[in-house]
Amino acid sequence: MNLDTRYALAAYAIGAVLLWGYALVSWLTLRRAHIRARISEPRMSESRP
Amino acid sequence: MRQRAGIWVSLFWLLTAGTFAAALLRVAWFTPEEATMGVIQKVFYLHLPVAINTFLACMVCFIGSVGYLTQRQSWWDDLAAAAAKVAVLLCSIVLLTGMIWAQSAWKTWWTWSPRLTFSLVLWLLYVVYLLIRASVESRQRRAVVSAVYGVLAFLDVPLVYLSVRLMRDIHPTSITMEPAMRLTLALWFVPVTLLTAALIVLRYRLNRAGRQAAAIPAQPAQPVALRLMGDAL
Repeated sequence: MNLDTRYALAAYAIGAVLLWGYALVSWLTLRRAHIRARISEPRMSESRP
Repeated sequence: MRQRAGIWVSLFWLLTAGTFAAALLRVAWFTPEEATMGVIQKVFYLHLPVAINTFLACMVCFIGSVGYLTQRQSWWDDLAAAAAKVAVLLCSIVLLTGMIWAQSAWKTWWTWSPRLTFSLVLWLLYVVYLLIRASVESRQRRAVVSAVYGVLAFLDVPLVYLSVRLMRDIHPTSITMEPAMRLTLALWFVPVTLLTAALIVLRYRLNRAGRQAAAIPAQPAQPVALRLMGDAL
């Protein structure tokens, strides 16, 4: 494999990892935020007079 | 209703991943090499769609900023912040893939040509946007300051786009492409644009969730289209 092919592969690997990695991290964080919100919902309603 | 949304979400991600895989396969095996540059020219099929989507993300940030300044509704601010994060990510990919291409084509990682310089300035402008957001504590003040800054930062986008046309630049302006190469380029626009839209919506939803968690009442005037897109993702 010549150097240019390696460079091209590196460029696509960087693009794919950054795009899909950021999408995955954002999706997981959003899921966690929703789960947290669902857990805190009954507590909030309990604390209401 | 929720189950139906789940199906649409799955279909969306399947379409995005499928077109991404198809575009990769097409670049690797079904696209001819360019005569003068050789295999390194194939970086262009990722570089250009990501660059165009960087401009789109910057434009969404600009629209969000103008929207907040005119209507003072929190969801505009959340939209602008989401788009700015995605713009930084996409601009990073543009700079990195461009540098890799430059090392092969020009035998240097970086040169201070107008297009490259304005692109680096664009990246720095949106990194500073995120730093401003992180450094201002008052939510209302942060929203106003970053909205004004978001409008000003967008002024660099036309400079990046027009720099190769208005100034002497080493950066290529256009490449003659065979129909097969043009098809590959068109195919790459699909997953990159879908991913950009998905990322902006995901980050926007995260911002809304963060605002609700901080017990600040969310504005009810969120448009139906954005709410539906959010539910779908």
